[in-house]
Amino acid sequence: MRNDVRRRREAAGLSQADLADAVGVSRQTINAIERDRYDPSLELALELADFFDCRVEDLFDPPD
Amino acid sequence: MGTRPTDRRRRYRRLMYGAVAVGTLGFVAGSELGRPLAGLAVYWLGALTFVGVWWGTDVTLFDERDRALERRAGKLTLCGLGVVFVLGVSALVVLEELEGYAAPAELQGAILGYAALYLAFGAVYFGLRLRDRA
Repeated sequence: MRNDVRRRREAAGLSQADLADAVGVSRQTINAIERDRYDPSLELALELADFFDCRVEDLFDPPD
Repeated sequence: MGTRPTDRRRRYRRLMYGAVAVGTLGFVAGSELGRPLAGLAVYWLGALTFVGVWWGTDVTLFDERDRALERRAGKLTLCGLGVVFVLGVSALVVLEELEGYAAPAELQGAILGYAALYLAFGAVYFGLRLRDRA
């Protein structure tokens, strides 16, 4: 699923490992999400949205 | 060495997989060298190390993507084995009927093993379905 995770992570000045530690998954999982290779569970999507202080729909399948 | 969760996860997983590899190699080496009990002891040491690290750490060693990959791998394995099983049994029946071929006991054992695997899968699947319905 297309998402805005990489842009928001980089805007926050975080590495993939930083974000992975913050939401409790592996760095590889964050990398797979950013590359649209893995669709996170609803639980992880909510966790990421909460971390970036945005709505899930803003983070995943964001408007162009 | 880093102490952040991602570093610890990597380190612990390497330790776990290394322990299983050493245990398995130890088992094979023990068997080949005529010391099967010593090999078995090494194998159990590796297996217990794997479980001990898994249970003993507060770090999430396997996350949701790992579980998703395991599900996909299991599905692909079952599908692949299913094709081999169906084609293999069909070929065996044809050979037995047309050519008078008698399958060796090892092959018959393998077929029974395949069948048992699918029966076990079916039993677990329907057990889970019943549990979810309750």
